Amino acid sequence: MIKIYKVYLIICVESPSAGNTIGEGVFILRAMWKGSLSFGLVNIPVRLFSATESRTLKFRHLHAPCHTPLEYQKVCSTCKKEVPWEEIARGYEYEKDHFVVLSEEEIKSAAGKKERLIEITDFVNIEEIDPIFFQNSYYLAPDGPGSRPYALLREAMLESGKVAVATITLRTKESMATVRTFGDVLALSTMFFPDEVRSVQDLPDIPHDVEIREKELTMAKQLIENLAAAFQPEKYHDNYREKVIELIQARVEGKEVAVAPSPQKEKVIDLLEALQASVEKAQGKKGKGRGKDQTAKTSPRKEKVSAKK
Amino acid sequence: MPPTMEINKKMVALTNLEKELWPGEGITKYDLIKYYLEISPYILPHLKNRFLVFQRFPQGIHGQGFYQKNSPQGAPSWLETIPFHHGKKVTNYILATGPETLSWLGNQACLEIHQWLSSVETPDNPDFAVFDLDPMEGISFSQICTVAMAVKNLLKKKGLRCYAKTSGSRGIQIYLPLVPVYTYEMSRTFCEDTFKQIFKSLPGITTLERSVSIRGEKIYLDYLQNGRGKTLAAPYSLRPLPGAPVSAPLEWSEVAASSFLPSSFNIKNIFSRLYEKGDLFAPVLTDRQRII
Repeated sequence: MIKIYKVYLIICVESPSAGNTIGEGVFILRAMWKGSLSFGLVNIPVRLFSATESRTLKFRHLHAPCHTPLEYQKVCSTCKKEVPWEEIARGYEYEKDHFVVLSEEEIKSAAGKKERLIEITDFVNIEEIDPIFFQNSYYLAPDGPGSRPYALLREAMLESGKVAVATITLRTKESMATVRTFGDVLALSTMFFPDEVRSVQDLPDIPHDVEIREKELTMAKQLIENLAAAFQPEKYHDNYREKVIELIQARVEGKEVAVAPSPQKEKVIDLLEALQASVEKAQGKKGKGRGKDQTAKTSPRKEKVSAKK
Repeated sequence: MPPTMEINKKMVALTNLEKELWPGEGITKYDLIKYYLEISPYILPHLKNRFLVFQRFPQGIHGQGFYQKNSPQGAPSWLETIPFHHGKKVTNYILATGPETLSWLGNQACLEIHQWLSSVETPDNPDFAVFDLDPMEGISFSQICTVAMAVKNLLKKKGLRCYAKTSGSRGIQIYLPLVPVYTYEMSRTFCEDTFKQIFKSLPGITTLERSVSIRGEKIYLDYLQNGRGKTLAAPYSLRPLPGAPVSAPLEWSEVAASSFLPSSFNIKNIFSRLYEKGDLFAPVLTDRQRII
């Protein structure tokens, strides 16, 4: 017999935790990488922090009839089972259905010793770099004894007006990067390698030898002149996102919200309080690890703690 | 001030308790600390006076874990440590003295507790010899049980009693408690000789080959864990694997019948087993034997 399950998908946002405005993430300053910035014979210990964050609203997939957030399982279609983490290998598909399996160690070892190094190779003028190369931006902060050489490099770069071109390996991805001054800090932007930037050669319909009349060109240039302004990024907003947040806010206020059924965590009532019973049992119990009639026998209490499940 | 709790008159900061350490399984740091508190009477005797190494997973089991030997900066002042000199390097090992230490470790997202085979009193003389059965892919669990029974019976012929536990992953580890008078070299040689006899009688499913790539679909008979500074997951240590399995002591009748899976015992169900059977590993602390 064939059973057909119909799965409905609706999309929702998770309710914000108390005190957070919807859509506002909490910016946690946590170093994502530690290593050193090498510059000639100088090594500056640095930490790397993400400089940007995407504010795209995140929706979760729910099962529409019951509003339970969907879980994702990694399933093997051959063994017909869910695959635990330790049974997952990494394979490179060099042709359809043919893989080269590499272990984590092998992949790591390819990164070599560069793993913890930002190696400055050249100093260039920033105008020479087309923005198409830029990928992700990070702030660099000195680590421990790095403070003085960090300040020195920053001042020297500021006065020379040059930016540094460097290489960096983040996790297992090696990138070209620039290091430049950004206010009081050094900022690093990873860049695509030249062979990662697609060629424009095969783009369709790009006009080449087109005759342009002088008058038209003057008009177009005038138009540009009229709109010329200083760059004011604050002027721009994500209107779509703001509209969706408004919509969500109204639903939250009108209590038109869906709540996931119980295996979802209820908000931490007081987990500390819930642990108190376990603390009392554990305290003063030296536990000789004796056989069946030991005092710890009462330990596996069956009752559920109210804050859970 | 982070939220703190008084445990045995020690103040332990317990933070971020709702953090999921087994993502998708609903097992949080709260559950981990609760586990440590409730398992403390069973696990502490095994950790007492022993150098310990911890594996921490602050981002949960799918994040990057790391080993911690040294007591970290910012550790509470009541935490007891003991220095050990490895050549010029000094490591301040953390001593597990009570549920407060375990709770603090839980708050550090320490998911795995590894122990030395010798105590701090006699670091050069192991308290047990360990026969580690490490199955490669393609080995069935009943085959591991067959090998475990072979080890047990061989030792029995020599008049020795040993005790088995799951590694918490796929293997079985057999402990032979010793009077701490032998060197690691002696206990290692003893295990090696025993394993060589096992290999001779079960060459189809066992291997002594150190190189992983040429072991084949065999059970690796690992005696090299018998060395100073080498560690094994302690009994009742959790493992950072899906389902939060526990390294669980076994009854030999269970091994003989291979009536369980190594992943059968976990953070949730281990207590009903303890309630029924008590600490099956308690004799490992008392039944100290002589091998020569």
